[in-house]
Amino acid sequence: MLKLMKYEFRKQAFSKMVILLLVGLIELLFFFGIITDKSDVMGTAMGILTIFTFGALFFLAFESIITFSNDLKQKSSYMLFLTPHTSYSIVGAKVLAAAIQITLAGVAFFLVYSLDIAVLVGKYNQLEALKEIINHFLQEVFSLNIQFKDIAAVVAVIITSWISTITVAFFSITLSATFLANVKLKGLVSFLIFIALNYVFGRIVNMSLGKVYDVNNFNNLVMYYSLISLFMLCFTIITYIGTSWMLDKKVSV
Amino acid sequence: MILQCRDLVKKYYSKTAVNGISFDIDQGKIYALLGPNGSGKTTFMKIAAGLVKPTSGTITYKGNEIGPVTKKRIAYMSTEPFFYNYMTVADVGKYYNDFFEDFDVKRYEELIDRMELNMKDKSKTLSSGLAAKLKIAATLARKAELYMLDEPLNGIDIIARDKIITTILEAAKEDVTLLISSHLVDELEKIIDNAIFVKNGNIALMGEAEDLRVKHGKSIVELYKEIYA
Repeated sequence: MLKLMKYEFRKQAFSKMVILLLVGLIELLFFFGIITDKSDVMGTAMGILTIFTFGALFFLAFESIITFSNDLKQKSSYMLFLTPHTSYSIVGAKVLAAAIQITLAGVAFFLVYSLDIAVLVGKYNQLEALKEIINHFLQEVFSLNIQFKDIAAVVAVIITSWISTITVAFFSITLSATFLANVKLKGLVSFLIFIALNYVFGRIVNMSLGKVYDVNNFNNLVMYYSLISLFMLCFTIITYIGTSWMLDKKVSV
Repeated sequence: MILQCRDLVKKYYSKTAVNGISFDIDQGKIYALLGPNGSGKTTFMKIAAGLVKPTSGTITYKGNEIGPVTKKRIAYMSTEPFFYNYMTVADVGKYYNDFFEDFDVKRYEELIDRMELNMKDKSKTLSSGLAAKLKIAATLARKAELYMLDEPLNGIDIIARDKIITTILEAAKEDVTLLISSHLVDELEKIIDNAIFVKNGNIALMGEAEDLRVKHGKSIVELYKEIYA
């Protein structure tokens, strides 16, 4: 499976290099502003970086879905499906590669922002005010009794929800390539299936947990978000198995 | 026998590509799968390679259903170019080496040399003839038990055809089976042990090449013309 993952990374390496290059250029602009003491240049660089971060994370999240779709449609799919691996390994490698890529990208952008803020705080005394705001914010947070485990629970929900979105998309695309192969506009149909499945899964979570937990009661936060993560994990397993089964038994490339 | 198929059917929408065929492939022979475009040769090969799922019927390789176990033993070369666009000729070798235990890197380098390809060339920039040679080099550098070559002479100029046929024959050993599809029957006539004529998804005629010649008093090329004319 590691070799399959290696080639998943390789297939999507070009976009990472472009993103890295563009972040490098934005950072050059930012540090040019720092060196020349031009606040408007720094502000512009930070503004571009913020917009770019959202765009890049959005693109990375969906690139794995686009790659999966191409792997079912294009002749290069032979490269993948001729390898002596089960469809469970192939889909598993795709899901893991996608999860690792988005996590690493998130960490990388966090480090870039941390570096920029550290440089700004170190250079300008007037940024003491910023430090105070951050301290105040942290105090507010802690007065609400939010601790590290709460933040970890929220991060877990974000990651499991995202992985679940990926596997639901894989499932929808595979479904359209098998049982809906004769349907006109199957791309649109698979998108509608994707929306419908996410809606149904969302309803299941809300109906199951909404009655049990009061979201406004922060004492329940960890348990509440842990249960959401558990639900997402279940949806991921169901759609992962469904996708792999269809690929194994039904899909012709 | 090594490859066995029974009542194999593959339907696409309303079209039937393979229509209930049954036959066996024996070990250590060279088979020609003959027929015009659209007769069902490619679909059959893709089913045996595990790329296409049959609508009904069974197909097994040495008693195993088509899957990861059989993909380790069967080397399939499709008629279409299928390498990833980003790959160079060297990347293709690394990829095969990563996934196929029977891949021989030295043999690949030797074949790339013979085919006058350059390791640094990008697969997507190759001409159709060079791309066809790359597919052949990658497939035949595996030490597989069964090679299935779909139209290996497509895109190959008349001068290079002998070189390709010689390379294919080098893979033919006592325990190795070759299944070659082509509509260039005269090129295959002299090298095959068995012939399978496919027409509209059915087997029109099959048997040992020499038996067919004696029984019908015609060459394989003449039989081909008779069946498909």
